[in-house]
Amino acid sequence: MQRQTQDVDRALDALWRANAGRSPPPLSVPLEVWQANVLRAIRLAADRGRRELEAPWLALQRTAAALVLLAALGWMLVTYFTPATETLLAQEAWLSHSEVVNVEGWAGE
Amino acid sequence: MTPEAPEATDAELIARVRAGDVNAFEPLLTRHREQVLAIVARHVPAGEVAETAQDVFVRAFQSLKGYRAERPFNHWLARIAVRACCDFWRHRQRAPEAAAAGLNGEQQEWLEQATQAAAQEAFARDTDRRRAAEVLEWALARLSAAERMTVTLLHRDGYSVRDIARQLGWTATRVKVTAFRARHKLRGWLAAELRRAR
Repeated sequence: MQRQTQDVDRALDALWRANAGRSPPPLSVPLEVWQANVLRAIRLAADRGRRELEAPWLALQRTAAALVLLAALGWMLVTYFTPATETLLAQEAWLSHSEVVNVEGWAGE
Repeated sequence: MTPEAPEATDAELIARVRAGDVNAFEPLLTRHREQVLAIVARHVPAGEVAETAQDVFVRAFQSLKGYRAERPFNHWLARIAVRACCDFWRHRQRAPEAAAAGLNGEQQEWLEQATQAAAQEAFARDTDRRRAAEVLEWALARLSAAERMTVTLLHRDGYSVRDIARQLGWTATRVKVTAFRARHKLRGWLAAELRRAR
């Protein structure tokens, strides 16, 4: 068992060592072509940003949708994780849920 | 003889880009592309380097407003590059065949050799690096994106826990825990392969 652990440690060490000095492969496209593509993508991103600035209602719409979604999610989480009052009272008084409901006359509420 | 105009600093170029001069990003790109390409090429497959590195610069351009000048621009860019690599692996579905299949005969042989204490010196000199890369890739493909990035930065690239935490935007504790879990998994898989080989 101990020998196997040592073997695994040695193999892992060798694995890292053998891969440590590995030089990265060359770029699949010429560097200048790549740079031109990057600049094009950046100009597109800049245009998109400018358009969004010019049409602030778009950003507003997106923010409103995100807020509605967040509120709905928050409500779901709160209702899911907050135990019913009856359950809390039942725990406190060592009663069953239905006993509390019956005693307090909350059936159907 | 007229003196050459001094090259604009990173800070000056960034200020121009922030003011709306997109062309000022080009010298920044030219100046820092080698660094970004080197980081990305060490972490993603060869065929994906160009696109991932492009993504790094687009992200940098889009979040330039959040850049604080107290830190060097190249450090900030390196963080974006490391996180982009992490996102690359997060988005790429783990190949099911990689998770299911074991090592082939030659790869197992490499692993078996690597365990021979007496052969360590010779192995370090003569190791078949391609096979070592295959075995490592086989193991890393089974880890999660976060585990993969953490162990490669820590063990292959030799970064400190603090550096990794800074690059990934994590706490040092999270780096340690992730590295520990990843190492534990790697050891388990290698042990199983060694048992299979013997």
